[in-house]
Amino acid sequence: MEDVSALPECQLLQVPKAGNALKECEDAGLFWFGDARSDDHGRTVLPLYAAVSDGASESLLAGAWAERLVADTVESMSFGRDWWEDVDAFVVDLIGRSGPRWQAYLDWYQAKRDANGRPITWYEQPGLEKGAFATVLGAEIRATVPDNGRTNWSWHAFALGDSCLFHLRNGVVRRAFPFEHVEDFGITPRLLGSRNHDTALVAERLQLAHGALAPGDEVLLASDALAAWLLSPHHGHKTPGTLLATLAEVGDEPFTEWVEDQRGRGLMRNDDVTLIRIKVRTEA
Amino acid sequence: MPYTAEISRTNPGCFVFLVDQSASMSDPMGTGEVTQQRAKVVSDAINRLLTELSVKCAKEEGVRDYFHVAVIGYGHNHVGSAFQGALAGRDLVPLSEVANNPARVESRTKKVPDGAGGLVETSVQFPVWMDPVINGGTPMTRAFGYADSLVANWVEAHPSSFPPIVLNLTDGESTDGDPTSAAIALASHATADGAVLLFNLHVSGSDGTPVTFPDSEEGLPDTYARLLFQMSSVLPSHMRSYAASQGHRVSETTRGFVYNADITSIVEFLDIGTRATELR
Repeated sequence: MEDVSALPECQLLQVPKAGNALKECEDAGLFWFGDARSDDHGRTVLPLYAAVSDGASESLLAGAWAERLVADTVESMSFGRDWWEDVDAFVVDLIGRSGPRWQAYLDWYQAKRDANGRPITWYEQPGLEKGAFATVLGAEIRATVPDNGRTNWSWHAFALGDSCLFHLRNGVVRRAFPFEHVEDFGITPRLLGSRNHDTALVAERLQLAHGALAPGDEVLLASDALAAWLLSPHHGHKTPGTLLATLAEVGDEPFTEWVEDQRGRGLMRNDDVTLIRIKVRTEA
Repeated sequence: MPYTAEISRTNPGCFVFLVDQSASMSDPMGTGEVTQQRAKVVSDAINRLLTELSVKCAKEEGVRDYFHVAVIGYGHNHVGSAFQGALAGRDLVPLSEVANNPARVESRTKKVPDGAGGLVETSVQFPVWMDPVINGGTPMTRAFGYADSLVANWVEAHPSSFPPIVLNLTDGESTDGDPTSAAIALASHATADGAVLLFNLHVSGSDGTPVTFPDSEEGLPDTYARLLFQMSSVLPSHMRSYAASQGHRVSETTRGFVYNADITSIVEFLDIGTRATELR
């Protein structure tokens, strides 16, 4: 029942802060093509799950926490089917996965440090007790293929913090979520803490959005520095998506060089950059 | 725009703490039954600040060298490093070395919420880099001169960094002449991001009300207070905003100066005066 031509193209690009190595990048991004299945109306559904998380630099193990969150977000979305219809259950599922896994990771990390003769020091202890913090943005791009007829495309997303989703058509931003203006980026975005098990509070703070897609449309998931660039009126590009697409299609290196150039010219904040670019195929 | 340089490991920041170690620092401060020697209050506040800086800059691989730090004591027959233990005699030290080399780590008790509306005593680790030292006069002019040579070398090595911040904590008038010229010379060093910032704190000798971050000389009680005010730099915008968020009334001419500081305002002075732009 799977129609491979219905799968979108997907790409993940990352650039660490200037002065940092890629392994020091505290953003995480992940996408995963879910299994084809039938929906309640007997139509074939092909999902693509994607998530971006931006670890807060001033917390310890922020990069590892961001990695944990994108993996668990993708898993929770894929197990939840129409996960956006019951956000409380979705959050319970997500935190139910992340909480114990993170504790297991912390136990492993501390044991590894002991084994390496580098036990946790007094200056790390307060940070570990406080926990790690990160934004999280998750999206499902869904192709619904009826037996007879054209494929319908849609996106559903949730956000906590300032990592943003953009829906682009012909390189122009049609919709930005959860922020719509560059002024919305503050220095204290909402974050999910590794010690926060208050699922009701997290569910209350999650924002949801959805939209329809047409063939050729793009969906971008971006961490804040690039997201702010996309929303900035000063970047001088009427079709920023076309610029990003051109760069991204050539590969990692031109994208990295472009980010460095924008930072150098003061047009982009020096921060870790993560971009997931999803393009709905143009049907033949 | 000055005072906006990003602080990173390649462009670190620099703090020089100047600590008055004159005899009068042995006098008590505080009210009622809770009094402590001034020198002890100041050294505790600096040890706590170095702890907080280390915690803030700690990452998985260790403490990142976002800052270079010197703690300089000045008293009758000594102006120089106040670090003890492995760092004794060292002036500007990268933060990772500071964090890894306290003279000792004490165990102190702290009251924390018990989760049921009460408080319970718990033991916390308290690293110590400097102890209170009491030693004769107040050679503030020499202290500024000492800081001058430190920052002069530092700005030469870090021409695009956020400029050094010198925080002077004292309880008395200079005993080696008018320090104004030395203060002006010190604050004349600059990086591409701006001139050296000199902030002054006067520790209370009485139960007087603290004057925190004033923007004019009005209301300052005497010539000495006005002299310290004149020697203090205007707070850069991010520190001003932070001071405002902590409940201080600020204007564009607010200076990094506290007069008649009590224990709380010493901690605030160090917190606001070392507030960094974003760390990268």
